[in-house]
Amino acid sequence: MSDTILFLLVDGLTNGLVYALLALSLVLVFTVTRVVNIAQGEYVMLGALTLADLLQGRMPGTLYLLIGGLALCAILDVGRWRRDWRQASLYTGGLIVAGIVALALTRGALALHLPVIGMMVVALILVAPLGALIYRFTVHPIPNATTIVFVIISVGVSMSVQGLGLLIWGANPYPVDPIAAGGLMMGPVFIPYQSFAILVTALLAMGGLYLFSEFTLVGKALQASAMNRLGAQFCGIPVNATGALAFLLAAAFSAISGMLLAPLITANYEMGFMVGLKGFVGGAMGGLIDYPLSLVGVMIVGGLESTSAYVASAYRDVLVFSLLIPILLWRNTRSRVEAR
Amino acid sequence: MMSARATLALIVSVALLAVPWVLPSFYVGIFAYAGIYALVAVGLVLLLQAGQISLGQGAFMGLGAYGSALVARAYGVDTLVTLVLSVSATALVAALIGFITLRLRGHYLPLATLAYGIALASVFTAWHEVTGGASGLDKIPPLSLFGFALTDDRLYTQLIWAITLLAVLGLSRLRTSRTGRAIATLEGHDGLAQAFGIDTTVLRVKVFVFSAVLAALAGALYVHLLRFVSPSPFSLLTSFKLLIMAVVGGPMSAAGGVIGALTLESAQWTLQDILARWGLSGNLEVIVFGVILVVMLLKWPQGLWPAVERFLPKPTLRSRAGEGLARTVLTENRGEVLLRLESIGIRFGGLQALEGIDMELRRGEFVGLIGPNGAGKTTLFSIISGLQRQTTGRVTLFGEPLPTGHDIVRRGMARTFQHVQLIPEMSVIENVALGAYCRTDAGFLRGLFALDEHENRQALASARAALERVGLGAEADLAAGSLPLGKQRIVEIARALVADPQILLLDEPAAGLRFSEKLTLVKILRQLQAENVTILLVEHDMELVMGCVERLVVLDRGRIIAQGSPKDVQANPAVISAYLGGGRDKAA
Repeated sequence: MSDTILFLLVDGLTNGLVYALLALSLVLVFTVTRVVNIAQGEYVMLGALTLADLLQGRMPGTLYLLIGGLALCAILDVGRWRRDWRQASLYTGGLIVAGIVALALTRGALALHLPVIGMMVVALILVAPLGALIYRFTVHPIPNATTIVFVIISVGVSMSVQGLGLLIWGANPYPVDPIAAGGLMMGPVFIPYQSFAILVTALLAMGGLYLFSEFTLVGKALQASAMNRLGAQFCGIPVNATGALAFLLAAAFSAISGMLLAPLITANYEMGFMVGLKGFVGGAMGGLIDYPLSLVGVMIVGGLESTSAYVASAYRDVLVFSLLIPILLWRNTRSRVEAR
Repeated sequence: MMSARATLALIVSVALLAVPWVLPSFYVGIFAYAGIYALVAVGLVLLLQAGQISLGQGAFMGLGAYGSALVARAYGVDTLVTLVLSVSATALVAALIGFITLRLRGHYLPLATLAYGIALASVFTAWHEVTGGASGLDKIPPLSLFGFALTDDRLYTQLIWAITLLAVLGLSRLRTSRTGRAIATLEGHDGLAQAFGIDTTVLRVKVFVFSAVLAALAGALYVHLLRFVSPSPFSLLTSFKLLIMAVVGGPMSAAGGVIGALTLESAQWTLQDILARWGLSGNLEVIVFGVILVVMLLKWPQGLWPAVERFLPKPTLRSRAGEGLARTVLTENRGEVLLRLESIGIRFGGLQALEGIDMELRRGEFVGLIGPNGAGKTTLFSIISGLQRQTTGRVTLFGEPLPTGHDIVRRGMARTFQHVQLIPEMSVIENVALGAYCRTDAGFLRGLFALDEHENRQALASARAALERVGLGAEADLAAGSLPLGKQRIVEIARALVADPQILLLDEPAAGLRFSEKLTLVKILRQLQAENVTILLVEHDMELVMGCVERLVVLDRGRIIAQGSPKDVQANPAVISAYLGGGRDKAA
């Protein structure tokens, strides 16, 4: 019995840490841009499948998404060209260079047969900018829209990106190599090294974000935009840039979580959405604004998921998503207290 | 005599009902599904109108479908009976979920709908023994009553469309009713809703339940048409598609739901056709759907409906003829204390915004509340009008403790807002008729089934009379948002008057008014005073205040520093120093 409990604990912790990276992304995006990003989980899928392609020596489809996105960006900003040729050519030139760099980087990585960690970095460089591009296409044009409008937009983004995933990678699952194969017997329980990798990476990511926000000027600008968008704007902080940065960082965290998760479950075009939503259930605990409380939330989600997978596997999703109701009720009583 | 618009609607309806009889049989099924989705989308449009959203509408369809199918299959009861049962059961579930989630603000609501949408949809798959799991159950009986079964697909399709069109008709009716006007306040006008007696939580739940009922009905109709039930049609993807239909049609009119459903279903079949020709399989059309959704919201947030409506004849306005609601004749019994504030204080964190406020408002009085910026006028006003609760002290209205938010107007106290709170798309007269909400009682269903004619006419007649009284009779049918700010402020006063108040609270009514408009305002205020309406006025325009009010209360830094006639107050050194400075240093 205690073996089982230990196993569930490890499993729950591993799940929880994967969702933690998602919750981190969601809180970051929500606080800076007020977008409840239903599409956040799609970066998990993109990260995992990009890594799968790279590890198998294929050009990842993500590269085409990135180049297509950059091209669309250039077309949408064509209006700027009429006003200022110098700025416009710098801007488009930058986009073109970015595309070429991404292409060269991918080719180089494939030629060098980088180890898993190296490929993860390349995958990250390909996926993260997609977050900023999505921001440019869907949030930047209507910065003052209501929460509901942004939610619906993110539903559209999720559908499109998932559909593109299906178009590029098909419906088949892809195996992904772990950072380190094998594992460790801890007492009676076998713990794969990947679980440790997840733990370390999650801690590094969280610590990195913390240090970035607290000790760099850009990080502080991000915080300022999160606290008061208008105020930040008055202080000369380009809030659109911080919004794009938040989307980019969030995409990076989610992609990392996808690359870590994939070896445990194989990668496929549908894998991200549910992971994203479970990140939400945990994030709701912190009202999508509080990092530590969100962490508590995702750990509860991870634990409940492992336990229910063991006790009543068919009802796993039912239980996990029903958890949102007590969480929201609890938030509700809290916010009333705060209001008084 | 039918209006041109009604005639056109009738023609389109008859045409839609005739479609199943002229289509080849393969397309009849597609058309039936379009009708079913339209029914759900119409409910979603209502939700959008109320500033709500559901990402789990497919689950409600599923509840309606499984409920009716399982009971009919197991007990052999007439399916029309099981359909009613399962729709009612879904309504109960929706009411429960609604009461839990609809109190939540902003970003929680969409997440909550997503969560129960997934949770419910997972139950359909997980509860294998009852639902047949992922592979589903066949041999679902057709729609039947007293043993007569409806097995003709064309007739069935016609029935579906008849129900959908009736829903559109009902909801179009609702939009111009008392409840419809109240629903329009639910998106971002909470203070307004409360001030005019609308219980927003209850109304939100009603809207939510009704949209769930339409979804459940659609689900049940779907399952008895297909005669097979499985979880996949009620998945999240369906919920998302339904949402796209509502967005594509637009939130302006229930008919938008039908337009959205027809557009998206045609797009789906066309796209699948093209994709199949290219040799692609899977649900790749979702790529396009996602793009459609994003582009619609970025470029045409009002959907396709406004583009369609441009070509339609104007809708007939509902009657506003005859007598309005009876107005209370106010006694001249001056001196009776109507509103009393006793040692009111309020803290915001470390800031003591108000402290030790004692004040009375007597019947027939015209009191001005003034003070420099940041004195606490607006906060005090919010406490009096029930939008904020004081930390210490108490407020009594007509000798009783101040009731909570939406009950205040029923006790006879109405207000206007410093930042104009009108529904910009709604006509002026409908905005003013909101004032009559607390004096009328036709609910959701009476609005839906057009059983509110007499009462609605009275409410509109009152609104018309109030508008004429303040000199805006000619603007009654313009969109409120199209009026200049000064007139919008006057519209606010007309709306408050329709609530038939004994006490009128005016929050900076002259701000932004032109000189001639101020003269009109003063005239209206004098007239109200002559009718023994008790008035509390917060205002910055000293000339206007001094010329109107009988008594002034001066606030500074959260305390009352002077009370009395305008003349006395003007001479009061504390007041002068508060406004002009100088004396403050010596005092300190």
